[in-house]
Amino acid sequence: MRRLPVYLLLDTSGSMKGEPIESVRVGLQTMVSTLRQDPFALETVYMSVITFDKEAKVLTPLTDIENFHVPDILTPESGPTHLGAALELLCERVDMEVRRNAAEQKGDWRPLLFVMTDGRPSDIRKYSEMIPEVRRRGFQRIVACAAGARAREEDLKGLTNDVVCLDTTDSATFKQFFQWVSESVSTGSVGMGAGSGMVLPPPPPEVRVVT
Amino acid sequence: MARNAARGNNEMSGKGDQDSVDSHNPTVPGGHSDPADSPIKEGVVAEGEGGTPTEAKRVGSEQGVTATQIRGPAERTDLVAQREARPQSSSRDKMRASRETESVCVLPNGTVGKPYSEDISKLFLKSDGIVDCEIEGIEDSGLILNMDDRRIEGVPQRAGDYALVLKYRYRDMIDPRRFFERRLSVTINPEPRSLWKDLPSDRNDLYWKTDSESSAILGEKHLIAASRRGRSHAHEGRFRDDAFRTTFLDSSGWYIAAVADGAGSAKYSRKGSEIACESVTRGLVEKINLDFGEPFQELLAGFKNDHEDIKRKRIGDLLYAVLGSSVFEAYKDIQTEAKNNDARISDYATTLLVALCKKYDFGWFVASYWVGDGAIGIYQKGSPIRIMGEPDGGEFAGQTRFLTTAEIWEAKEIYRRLRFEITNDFTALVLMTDGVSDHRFQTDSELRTVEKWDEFWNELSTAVNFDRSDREADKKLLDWLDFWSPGNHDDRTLAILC
Repeated sequence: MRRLPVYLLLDTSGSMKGEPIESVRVGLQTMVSTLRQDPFALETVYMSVITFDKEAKVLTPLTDIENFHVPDILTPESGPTHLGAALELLCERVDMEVRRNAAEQKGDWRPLLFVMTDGRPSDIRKYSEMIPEVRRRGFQRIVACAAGARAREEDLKGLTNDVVCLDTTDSATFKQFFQWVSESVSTGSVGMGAGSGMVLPPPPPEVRVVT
Repeated sequence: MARNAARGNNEMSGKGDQDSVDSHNPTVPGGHSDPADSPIKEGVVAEGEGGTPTEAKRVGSEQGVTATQIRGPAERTDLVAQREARPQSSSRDKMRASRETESVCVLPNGTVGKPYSEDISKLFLKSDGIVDCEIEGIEDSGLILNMDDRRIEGVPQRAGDYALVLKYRYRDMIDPRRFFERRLSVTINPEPRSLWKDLPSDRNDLYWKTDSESSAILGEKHLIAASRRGRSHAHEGRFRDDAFRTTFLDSSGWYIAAVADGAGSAKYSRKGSEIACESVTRGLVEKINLDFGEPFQELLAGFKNDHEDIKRKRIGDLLYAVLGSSVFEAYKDIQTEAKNNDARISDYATTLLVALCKKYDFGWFVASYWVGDGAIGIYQKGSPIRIMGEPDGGEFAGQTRFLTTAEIWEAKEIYRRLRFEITNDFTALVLMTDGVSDHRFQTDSELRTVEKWDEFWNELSTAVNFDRSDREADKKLLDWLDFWSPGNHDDRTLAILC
């Protein structure tokens, strides 16, 4: 069967501690529940959660929606935001987990990537180095989300043209964001089932598209 | 999705926490029942009734499951046993609950209709002497607690996220009002089939076409074809993008079959596939009788005796003139349609698989042209499978080439896609779109594996009676195309000459 791999990269640096990260977790929970209601996503979507603060960690390896559990997300008190390291880990995971077409192997659908950060990459050099590497991984869509006042959209523009912006990091906003992400994944999976590419659904008011 | 209400009864458990857990481990907040509020504590040490420390260690499993494993011996403390009667619920407010650990045990997910059975014996600190065990919050799920085998099991009936509370006592607990409780959660997935919708497509659309069609031409060999809209299209009320045409030329004995799969990303591809099949068939009907006469027959007979390169080349050139140019006409017709409709030709992107076939004295001649994914194969029971080309696949799924791609019109590319075979007989000549081939043949290498074709043919010929002149054969083929295959819900089209 062809899988639709979806990677979520979530910022867990100190500034996310408390309500923001709790909201992310609740948002993620809603997202998974929504995807369970979508027959194509339920059969096709495989999701992985990677977090980054001073280190990048795989919280959930690529797992189908049927067996997916929303992981516990822990945040340190403070510290840097190593987005570059997260992208490096992402590339390793993609190489390991995503299947490409071969004589003996059925390829996956091209993977999707959603990155959410409330700050700016502290390892800016690594971050710049990793951008072309991420490009080589064949993602069909990369959506980057700058959450809150401290996030810098310009930094994310280097990674993808699809940058969205959240003004606040409260639970209502994250809820909207994750709902939109799950809609995007749903549209993507149904579209791909029919052999078409992916068109992002219009975002809710809380999610502002950066142009 | 409904959250079940049984999550934590603070009034009841709060006091208990204060009493037992908190006093031994001050870092555990009392009375927290919602996992969202209460980050799981690692290595909570709880004490058994008899004062024997036991250790519960939280571990994360490979799947990101927060499982809790009990480590260390759960010493049985032989104190007074069997004297407590089962507590009455009326006296519950006087009861004191303790938690052997604070963490919520996340059970593996289940799916509606799929038998579920999960061992929960590890949840108990002590393996023996558990009495008065009950579970709350499980009622709607269809699961039950089986304490004989220490399992939560059953066939889930309703999807949802269930928060469960397991309550139990050890026989040797002195205080009859004390009991332990343990929080669990389990998610039940809906049965995917129940979620698919079947919405009609818009009949007023310029390019509307039927959601399914089938046809049967009966003769020395039968030419049976069927095409049906995939669930992914039906779910959203979209159109069937696949198409086919089958023809038999009575005067000359030629069979013609064409199947096409319109690209899902192209907005008018359902028309593209239709034009492709119609045009190529029309072109072939015109040219076959003119160009594939006596001299062609002699050429084929000669080639059958002696596979000379010069003869192969002449056959190839004739195929180029007849089949190659018919395919090119299909391309031109799509171009014209696009122009008339003020659209781009790529809006009509489609694959195309065509085969023509005729019986001669010296055997059956089969020729084909194939662009895109899907497959054309000549299946002969007991012989290697002959695949009439290469599927155009990319690195990832869903990447392919189309009839509407300009670069396939170089002469070399056209020749590369033309194939022919002369064979004494065959069980079936099969043309299929990727809605069928993707499911039946997972990889290119499986497509060339005769066992896979044997399986395919056995299943198909059991479902559809091809031997007799069954007037309903095409309808049965159409029914068969409704097969269930997780993740494979594209349009499906099959044309079979057998």
